[in-house]
Amino acid sequence: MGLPGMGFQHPVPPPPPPPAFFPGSASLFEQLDKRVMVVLRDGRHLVGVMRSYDQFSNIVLEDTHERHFVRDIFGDISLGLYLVRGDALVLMGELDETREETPRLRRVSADEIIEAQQEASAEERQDAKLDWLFQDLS
Amino acid sequence: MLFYSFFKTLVGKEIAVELKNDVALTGTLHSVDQYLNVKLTDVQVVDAERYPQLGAIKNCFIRGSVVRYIQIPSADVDTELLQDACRKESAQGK
Repeated sequence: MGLPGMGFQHPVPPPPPPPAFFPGSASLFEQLDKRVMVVLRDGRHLVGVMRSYDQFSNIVLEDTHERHFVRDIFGDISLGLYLVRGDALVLMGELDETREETPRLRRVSADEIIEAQQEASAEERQDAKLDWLFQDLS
Repeated sequence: MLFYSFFKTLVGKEIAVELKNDVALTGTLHSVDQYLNVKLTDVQVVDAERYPQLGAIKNCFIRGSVVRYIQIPSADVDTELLQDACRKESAQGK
């Protein structure tokens, strides 16, 4: 009696799981397949799903967006699949989605953030011009 | 490997990491590796007003090469033990 296959013993134990981390990456294993924000050395912020890493902390991000911050707003611009070289990486953090938008930091669309950025850089240029005029007068 | 071993004894302790880009973060040391890359949990940015973009980070991995200082509570460090270990390691190297 009994169901077919019952009492059958697996002849070999299942293979051991692959090593959980590469030596020398403070185990980025726990961040695999999580949505992370990466801060690069040039100050850029990338948000994406971490799919792979190695012992040099080179990482592969899927569905990457570059996150721009202009004063009290931020917006994501879609980039695609990215491989970030380890030496360009400063910090990689898991995001708390409930804290991404705060009363002081509002999410806007890609178009809006590009526009805001252009405005901000135009203002900066204007300020630089004024500085030069001031120097001429003195 | 002295400092790697040393930092391993600090896992679970509250530390502050200042980066070369002047950002400072505090958090609980989760892990460290041979390059002194560190992972922090319960991260808080020291000057949160200045870096609102980092406010949403829960836990993070910091690459060792971008770290300027790590502040550790002096109560958690046995400096005599550290000095002894240093002398032992340099004696071994000879």
